[in-house]
Amino acid sequence: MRAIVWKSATVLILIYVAVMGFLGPVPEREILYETIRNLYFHVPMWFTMTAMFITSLVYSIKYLNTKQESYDVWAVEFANGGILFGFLGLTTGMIWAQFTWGAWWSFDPKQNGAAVTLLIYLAYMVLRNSITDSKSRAKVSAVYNIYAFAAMVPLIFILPRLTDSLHPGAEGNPAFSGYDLDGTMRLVFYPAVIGWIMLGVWIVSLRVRIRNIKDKMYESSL
Amino acid sequence: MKAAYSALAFIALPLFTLAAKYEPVTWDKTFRESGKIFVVVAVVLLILLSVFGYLITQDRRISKIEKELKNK
Repeated sequence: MRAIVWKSATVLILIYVAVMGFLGPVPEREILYETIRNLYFHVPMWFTMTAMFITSLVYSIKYLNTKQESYDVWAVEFANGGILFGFLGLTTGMIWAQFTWGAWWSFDPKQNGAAVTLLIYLAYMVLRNSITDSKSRAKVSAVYNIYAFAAMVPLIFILPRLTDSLHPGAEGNPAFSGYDLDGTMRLVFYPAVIGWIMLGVWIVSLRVRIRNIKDKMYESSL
Repeated sequence: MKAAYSALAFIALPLFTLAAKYEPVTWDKTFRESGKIFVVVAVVLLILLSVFGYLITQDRRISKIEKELKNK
């Protein structure tokens, strides 16, 4: 019953975002023009990716503390969800960059940092698949997951802010100054972030349940 | 009436482009009012609703299998 409530809330929030994202008023900015609306769609991808990776990290730490297998399942599926939203963030950013910075890829520190982060998380999946014993797979990949998160923080949140970047945020918080994000946009932007994170959790939970069913069927066949 | 406006715009356009350099930032606001932006909203809504529908059916299917496994 509670599941129905938050899942229908997800649907309603994202419908609101899609409608207001296109029809709502936006501030007038040079170069950006109507593409400023991408803030409602491109940026929440990164917020969702970060939320997924943080949750994945928490489950990995929980696994190392308790050695409970279900935590490992949640950790890997949240990492998978993070990778999905990370790639969406990267590709939507490339489209936006082509029409505002003039190139799909300009080897901007933000772009490079995000790409390297995703490669590190892809390596997490490769590492998992290379270990057959389920106990050592869970343990090794949990430790690697902590390393991956520790690498993501400087690659995305620290290093790009220390150098010149085309991407907003070199001067502090990206896209959060009054100039970039005014009050009317916040009314759509914050729901967008919450809605996409909820959708991410929904997708992850489905994958976890499928994994649990598979495990159960495997156990009963033994 | 519309034709008169567009004719006027056609004549005045070179003047506007000259003046544009010194004008504050604006773009064609009619893009939202009569530029058929609603078509895009409809398309995006269709895609979103399809994804939601897909998720809901998968959710139900998984719940069913979970119940079957429980009753086994």
